[in-house]
Amino acid sequence: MSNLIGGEEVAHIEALASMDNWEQFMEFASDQIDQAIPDQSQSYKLKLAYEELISNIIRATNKDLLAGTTPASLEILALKNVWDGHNVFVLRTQDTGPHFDPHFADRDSVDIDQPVHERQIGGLGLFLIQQSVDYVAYDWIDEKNTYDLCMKI
Amino acid sequence: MALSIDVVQGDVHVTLVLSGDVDTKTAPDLLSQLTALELHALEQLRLNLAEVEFVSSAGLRAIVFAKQKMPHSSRLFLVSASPQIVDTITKTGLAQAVVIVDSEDEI
Repeated sequence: MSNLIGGEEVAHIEALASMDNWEQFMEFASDQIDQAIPDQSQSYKLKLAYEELISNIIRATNKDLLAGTTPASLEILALKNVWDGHNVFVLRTQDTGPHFDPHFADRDSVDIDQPVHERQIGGLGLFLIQQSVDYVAYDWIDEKNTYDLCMKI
Repeated sequence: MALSIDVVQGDVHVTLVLSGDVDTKTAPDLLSQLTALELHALEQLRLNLAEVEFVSSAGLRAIVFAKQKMPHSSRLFLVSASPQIVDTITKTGLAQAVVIVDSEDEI
């Protein structure tokens, strides 16, 4: 059984998972978040989690891409639902890149007490996704990596 | 949103005045500016974030990079960061490595 939330579609876009389409992905989400979430702090956190996720997806889908081949497709859906007794806004991403499960539930937390001079680069993005939203889930559906970023309204 | 960076050279410090978003797309520009500084000999760096609306982990990594290259005794000030940016810096544990101030007058 999937642990995704899903919901009623409000809007969606689809484009190649490429940095060439970065502004398109960001503007779409920013517009949808601003319409759905009035609280500035909550909307900022969801934008942060979304930015980290899209960055990871584009990096992962282009990592082993051969020259001259087409990047994976990335679809973003803005959804509304009721979850755990609350109205929620969900940003769902679906990409056709290589299967990658981040295992959110099993991930070790970043050691935030580690001195900065000993810090390794990496790991912050997934950490910020988990810290910033009310709920995040991943599933592999119809040959697509599918993520739900959920924020209570 | 694009990022613009103005470099202001002080007597004993350098200030980078940023305007825009520091995200996956623009953080490499900040990293380039930081790399161009003599970080290993810089005792004080100020990042003025008054006109910055958003900082992602890519921006945080640039800040970590700068602090790692600067002398151990150096100080890195984040000036006029928004509450949301301060929250991100705090929850990732980077507040221990920087000094957060409301204005340069506090330095």
